[in-house]
Amino acid sequence: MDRLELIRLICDVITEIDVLRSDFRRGTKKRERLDDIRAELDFLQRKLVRHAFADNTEEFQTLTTSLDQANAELRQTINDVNRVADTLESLVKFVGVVQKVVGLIP
Amino acid sequence: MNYSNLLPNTPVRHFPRAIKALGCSVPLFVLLLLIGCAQKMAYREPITRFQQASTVVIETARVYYRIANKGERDAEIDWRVARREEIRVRTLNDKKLRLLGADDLAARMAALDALAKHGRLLLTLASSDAATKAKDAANSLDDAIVRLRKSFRDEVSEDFKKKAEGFAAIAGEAVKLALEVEIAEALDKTIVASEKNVKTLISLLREEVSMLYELRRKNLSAARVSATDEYNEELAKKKSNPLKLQQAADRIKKVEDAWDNLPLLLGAGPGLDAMERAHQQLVDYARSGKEPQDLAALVEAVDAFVTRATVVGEATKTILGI
Repeated sequence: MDRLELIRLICDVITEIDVLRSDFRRGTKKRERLDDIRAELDFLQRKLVRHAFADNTEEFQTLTTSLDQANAELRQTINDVNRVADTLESLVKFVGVVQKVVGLIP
Repeated sequence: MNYSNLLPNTPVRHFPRAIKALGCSVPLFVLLLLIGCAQKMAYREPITRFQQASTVVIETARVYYRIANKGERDAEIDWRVARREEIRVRTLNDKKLRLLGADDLAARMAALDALAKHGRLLLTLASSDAATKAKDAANSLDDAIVRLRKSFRDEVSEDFKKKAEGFAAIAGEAVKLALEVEIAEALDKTIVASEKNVKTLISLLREEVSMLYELRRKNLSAARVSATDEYNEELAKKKSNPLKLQQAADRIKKVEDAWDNLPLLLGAGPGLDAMERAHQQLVDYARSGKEPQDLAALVEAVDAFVTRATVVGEATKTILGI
């Protein structure tokens, strides 16, 4: 995975969160939690676009492998509105890995 | 008259000397001249079309860069409206909201300008009146390189500076070639010399424009949620207002249209990709023996580029309303 693919993946996840967000009314707990996670991913993605960094390092590749795993886990539940709790858990893991990637920005 | 100017950039170019040595007849010399002109003319059409398509793609990239910050600012405002959060000038001034600072933006514009001028120089060198116009085109490119180098301020990313500087160096070389070397020779040499650095710069721009596309996708996705929220919230009221419901539904349709059209905007990235491939074919042709199959490969790559550029240009005009 390179920097552009990472940004694309984050965008894919954000658009899926949006589909899920629209299943819940504004002001409900689940919706607010999803809103917060989206806002965080948005912030991190913007940072990744704004700052160039080396995407050919071992550190980056290790993190993107973790990201692929988190994404695979997320994929199992994100389209199921009845498994939001599991989705939220997976999303938290996904965001955690993205935060680590952002940590690589010099 | 310097006939060598009329000769092509192939081994044929050296024929005047060979003719003298062999004591060739005048008709043979004229025939060789015609072959040379024909080969240069063969170059002309693909380069003209390459230049026209490049202009469209470069303009599209310019638009993408220009609207990038606006897109993020508007998305932030919409987000706050949707969450009923305060909007303050301090928030809008926040640098974190800007994808590209003023210096970054200026550097991208300068790089695109230099890339466009480089293409224009190639076109001039391939034209019939190259001898009189090459100097102007070379000087224009030279000015663009000066502006590009001036744009490399501290805030501009090192990666961008490094890649754009590589391009500035070869573009400077192209200027020299156009001014000092025989036109026919300058054309091939300019194209071949540009191979690596033009490719690097186009790749960089393609990557950035593709990232900007992803951000647009993300923002439009948020707009879809806001539009449906508005409708659903009005519908959930005990006495929902039919007019407001219709207005909300109309907004959903508008956002969904934009969402459906979004893949067309992806063209800006693939447009630069097609430009990179066509440029590579131009390099291959310059290096080739200029056989018909070499020209056919170049024409094919340029055709693909023109097709892509046309789609990109039309989509950008329609969707972004420019």
